[in-house]
Amino acid sequence: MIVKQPSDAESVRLAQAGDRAAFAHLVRRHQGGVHRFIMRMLGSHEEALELTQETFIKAWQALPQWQPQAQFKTWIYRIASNTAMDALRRRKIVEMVPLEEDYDAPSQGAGPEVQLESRQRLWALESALAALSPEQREVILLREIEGLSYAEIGAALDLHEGTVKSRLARAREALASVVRGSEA
Amino acid sequence: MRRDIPHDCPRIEALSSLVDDEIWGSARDEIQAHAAACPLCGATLQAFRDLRRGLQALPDTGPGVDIATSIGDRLSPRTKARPTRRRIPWRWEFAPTGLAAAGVLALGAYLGMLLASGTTVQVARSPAATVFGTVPAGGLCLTAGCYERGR
Repeated sequence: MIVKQPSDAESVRLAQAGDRAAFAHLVRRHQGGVHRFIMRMLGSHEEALELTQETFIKAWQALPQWQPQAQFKTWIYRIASNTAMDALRRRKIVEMVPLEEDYDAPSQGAGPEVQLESRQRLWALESALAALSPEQREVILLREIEGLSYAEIGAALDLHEGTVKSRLARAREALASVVRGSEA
Repeated sequence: MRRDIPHDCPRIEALSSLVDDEIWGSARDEIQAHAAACPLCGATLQAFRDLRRGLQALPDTGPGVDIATSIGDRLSPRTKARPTRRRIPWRWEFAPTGLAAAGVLALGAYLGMLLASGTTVQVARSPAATVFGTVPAGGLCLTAGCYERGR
């Protein structure tokens, strides 16, 4: 028997009326993306876990004000972005640290040399990502990893599409420059 | 990777939009044709595509816990939203007070004018008001005509 999953809009409507099960459904659907985004913004698994929880608690509190014309996905990324930026300001660290080097990279059955090279390349990319400004990093993450369109990024970060387009291009340019520098 | 872009090269935003499939029609065809022929733009486009592949290959561990369960007891109970009182424009907020003040002033002016002109006002006497008179209700004077004579 195929159980039809409720849409975000249906779950939000129920959660607005106080249905915790519907809200739990929304959390489970979006927790992976929100956690991944915050983790790459801050470079810390522990902090990302804590701030992911904070993001969803804020969402629950703000849910009565949620407008049906907004997408829950972009709305939750907006809260996540604000939460991550606040944390960066609190830390007074604009440039985050890259993720730990012993972070597990996918092996995909390759030999040890290929795995090592792959790990080094990923490590270089992590470091390059950490070197970007938080504003550039968030557009790159939302586009390349979370797969949001320009319009969705604009809605999530409260930016015009033209600004998203130019910021993304500058972020890519900067990222490619850092990666090239690390390979040289 | 700051490019010294020749005049006929597309802007970096156009190359970035091409990678994202956010540019369509003839503009897309033109940029693709240019990138195929221009070593500078071709290399930039390739670098952007490599970045995408690299970023998408970054490891993803996930939170490792069920966030919904972990925050469950931290969610405040939903209280019913109070109906919001419609805000009256400030000009109308003082309308009842203003009307009352204007009425009092008008009445004062009217009475003042009456006093100044020496006019006497005949007030119709209501039978019900006789309870406030000097003659007790049901008194014989009423029937004997004393009341009308002012006794």
